[in-house]
Amino acid sequence: MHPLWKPTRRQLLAGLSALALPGVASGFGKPNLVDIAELDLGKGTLTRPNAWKRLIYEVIQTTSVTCDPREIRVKADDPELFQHPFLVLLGNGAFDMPSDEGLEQLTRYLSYGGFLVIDDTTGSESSDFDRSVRELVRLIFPTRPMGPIPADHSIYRSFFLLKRPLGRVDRFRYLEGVTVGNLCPLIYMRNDLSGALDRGDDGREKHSCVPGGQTQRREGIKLGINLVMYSLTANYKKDQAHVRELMRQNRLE
Amino acid sequence: MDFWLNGTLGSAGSLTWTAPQWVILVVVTGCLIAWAASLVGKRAALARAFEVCAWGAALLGMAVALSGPVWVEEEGRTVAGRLAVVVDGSRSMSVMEDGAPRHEGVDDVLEYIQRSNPDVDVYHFGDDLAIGSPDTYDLSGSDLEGALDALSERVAGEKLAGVVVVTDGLDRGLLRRRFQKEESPAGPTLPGPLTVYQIGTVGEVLDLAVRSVDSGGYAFIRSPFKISAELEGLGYENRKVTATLWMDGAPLMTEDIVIGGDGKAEVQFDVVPEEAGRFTYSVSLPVYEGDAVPANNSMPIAVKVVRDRIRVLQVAGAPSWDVKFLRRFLKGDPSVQLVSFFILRTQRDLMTSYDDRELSLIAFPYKRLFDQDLWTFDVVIFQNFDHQPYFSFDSSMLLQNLAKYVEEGGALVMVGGDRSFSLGKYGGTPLADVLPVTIPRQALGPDLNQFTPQLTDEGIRHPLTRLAGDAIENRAWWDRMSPMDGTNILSGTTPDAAVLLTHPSRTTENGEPMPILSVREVGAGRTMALTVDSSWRWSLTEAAEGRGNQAYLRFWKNAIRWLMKDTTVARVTVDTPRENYAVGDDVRVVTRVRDPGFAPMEGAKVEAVIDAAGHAMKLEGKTNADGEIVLTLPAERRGTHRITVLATADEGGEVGAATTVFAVTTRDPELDEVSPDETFLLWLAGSTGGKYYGAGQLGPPVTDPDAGRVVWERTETSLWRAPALALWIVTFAGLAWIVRRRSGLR
Repeated sequence: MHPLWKPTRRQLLAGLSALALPGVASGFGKPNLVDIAELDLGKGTLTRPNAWKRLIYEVIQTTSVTCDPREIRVKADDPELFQHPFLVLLGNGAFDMPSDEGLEQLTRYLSYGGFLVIDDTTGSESSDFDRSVRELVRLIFPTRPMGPIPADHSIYRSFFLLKRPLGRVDRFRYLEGVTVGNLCPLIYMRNDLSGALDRGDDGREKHSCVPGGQTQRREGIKLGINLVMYSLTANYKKDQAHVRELMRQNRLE
Repeated sequence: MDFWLNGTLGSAGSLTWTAPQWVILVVVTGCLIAWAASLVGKRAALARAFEVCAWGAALLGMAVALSGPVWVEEEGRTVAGRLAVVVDGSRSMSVMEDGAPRHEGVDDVLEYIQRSNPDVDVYHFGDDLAIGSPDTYDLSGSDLEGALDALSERVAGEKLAGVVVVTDGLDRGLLRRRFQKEESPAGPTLPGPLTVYQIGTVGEVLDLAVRSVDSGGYAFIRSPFKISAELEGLGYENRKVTATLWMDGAPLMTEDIVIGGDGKAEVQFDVVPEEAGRFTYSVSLPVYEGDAVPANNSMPIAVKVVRDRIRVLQVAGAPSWDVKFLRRFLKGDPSVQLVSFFILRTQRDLMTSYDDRELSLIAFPYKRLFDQDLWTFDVVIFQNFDHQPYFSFDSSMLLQNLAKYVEEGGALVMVGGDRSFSLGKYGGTPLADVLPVTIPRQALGPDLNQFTPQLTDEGIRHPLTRLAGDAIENRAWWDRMSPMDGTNILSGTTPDAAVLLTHPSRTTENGEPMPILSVREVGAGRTMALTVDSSWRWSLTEAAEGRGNQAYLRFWKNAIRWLMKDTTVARVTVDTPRENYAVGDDVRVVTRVRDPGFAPMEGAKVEAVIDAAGHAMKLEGKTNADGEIVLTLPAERRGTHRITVLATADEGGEVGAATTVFAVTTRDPELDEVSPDETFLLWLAGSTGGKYYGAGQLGPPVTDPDAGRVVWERTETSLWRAPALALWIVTFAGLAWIVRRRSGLR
């Protein structure tokens, strides 16, 4: 069965049956499953484990990726960092730069395949968190400045076809990132994606999405899924086979 | 008097003693003793004096006779000078003219000269001067000046009646070069007046030739490259001919070209090599009747075809860290052209609220991939991919295709995961027949315990698991590698598989350690089974330890090289440092032999057969401690040379064979020019005041009537055989004896 498979009635029934059956093993042990770890840089950074649990739930429901929705928080100088190739850093204020050891480890982590998503939860034009983020990125990649990510980047088509990076707010029309080769190991967003994903222990949304409401939140979830898929497949969707087929179907401009 | 002296003794002669000195010494001593003996005995004083004198005279005559006296006389006389004829024996004299070799005209010249000149010495030359007329006209050089100098040395200052040169004028020595370059070059110094007879007719030569072939070094597989050739067509000016490109003895393509007004042309062939390796191409022109030199109508060249990019198909059942890192490695390798297909959504993910138009997903073109395009890939990787949900009713046919693809030379890798091996329901499928492991038909759950794979003895030596050059260091690398998160469960391995990594504690049904990494050669292809889905930890987790990702990169790079049958990882390899050689070069044939674990095999017998267009040469030897042997052969013959080596172990078992090719491409300088050089010969004759006869012309050679030489005659008269000497001895001995008897003595 392929991703755009149009099921017949019989196949639909078979699919429903499959859903009812217990799944087979999902990867070899939890350490090998896809998870999301929060980078803890102390004051100024936040933790929103429920946002990531929700994202992982959405990834499990929507894609073939097998995930582990556990809460993980690591320090920059913690070797545990390398067990979790998907890392997020979110905050709303200025934070202290990591130690030299932490910086060295972050550089190594991002150079050898780790992926870092930074989320400015303030959603404001100018924030202390933003200034700290830019300083941190400059320390990690002194020769590679962070820049806007173009609209045809793989991040916008790694699973969903997206036009804008929406979060809790809709203020910034593009993502920023650091490009190494043809990959972006570091993505920076300023529309508070984790705010759109976050919810309380009771399951209710914690923050309203403005101005688009639930439609905007849905786009935020799609962006989150795309970020996870991009961290796993990189520029896979830029492969010629995909581009040609999507253009043939008029789904790419 | 002459009778008594055994001949006439001239006054200018001299006496020579011919007996060895020791003989003379013995004889003189013996005679003195005999003479002393004659003093013994009582007799009258007068008788004694007479006898002693008589004996002395007789013994003196005997001593002289036994010392071999010879009278020697020497007398010189002047005889007429001889005529030296020097014939060109080089290959250009074999050029065909009117259907016959050019040198047939030489016999007429020689016959004419010898008829009118009885004293003729015939020589021939190539790079050197030799006595006699040439048996065959195939000498590889023609140095006329060197030959004339050698002739002068040979006659040692004597004046010859004349020097005759019989040649086509295609001299490749310094003389003609000076003639061509200098404004007023000096002619050669000769021991007699020169006559030149030209052999071969200007303008009658018909010759098509390939002068040079160029391939630009090496080529990439499936990428077009050009083979160009410089052509020459004497007598074919402004005519169309067909050039043919051959590959390994079979015609590949043709091009019609027009020979220019200057007799020259170029041809280019666009070639797209389909395989990697060394191949011999040759450019040839047709051999029409009357072609002066059929041998120069083709020229070979060996071309090394390398893989520009290895086409890899990576199919993954779901994105994962393992998939990500393998794609990252393959994408980062400039020698790899990667086509990836990841299943991003399964049947169970369909019940979401997203519309297909929101997705960037495309259909998985499995039929096209595994039915039509399969053969365009060099390596296929199934990474945690379960075939059944996608191949459906085509499973059997598509997996059969894959098995056939392997047997016909493709490479297949199955990487572990919850959709691989028995969990992917590969047990009992055609694919299971080609993998190195035996897959249970029933799905066996994975072992989820962490473990560190153990390097086997085969793994220590195998190129795939060689992360470091040194064996001890290599083991240390594997021992410190990050643990794996679990493994698929297998029944075992096929008998012809090589198990390189095993589980440290888990065993198969047979009690063998559970294979983690196994490889196998199947038909013309190769397969590899890696039962874990966390090899990515050899990259990122290793980096955490500050060791970078070299282990991961080397492991997968080794795997791709081995799967691609990179010749550097075959057990027996043969190579020459270059693809193309010139005549006279030494060709070093380097053979390396390794044991099944890829350790150097010392003492292996290596037989190399070098086949050059039917001329076979055999060399053999034994490998040294490095498992290497270098055999050297001279590049003697223009053309393609195929080397086939067979290596056998010390105990007689065959290790393997390997083959390669090289080409000897130098054109034959002797045949660079085929039209006789009339101008040069005219100058040669003129510069020495000699005479020139054109092709087919016969006339008397120029001779010097005053030329001559002194011949010394020696006359020897053997005096020891002279009757006078015998009479002397007999007379005095007889007188002495008579006197002695009369004195009453005996």
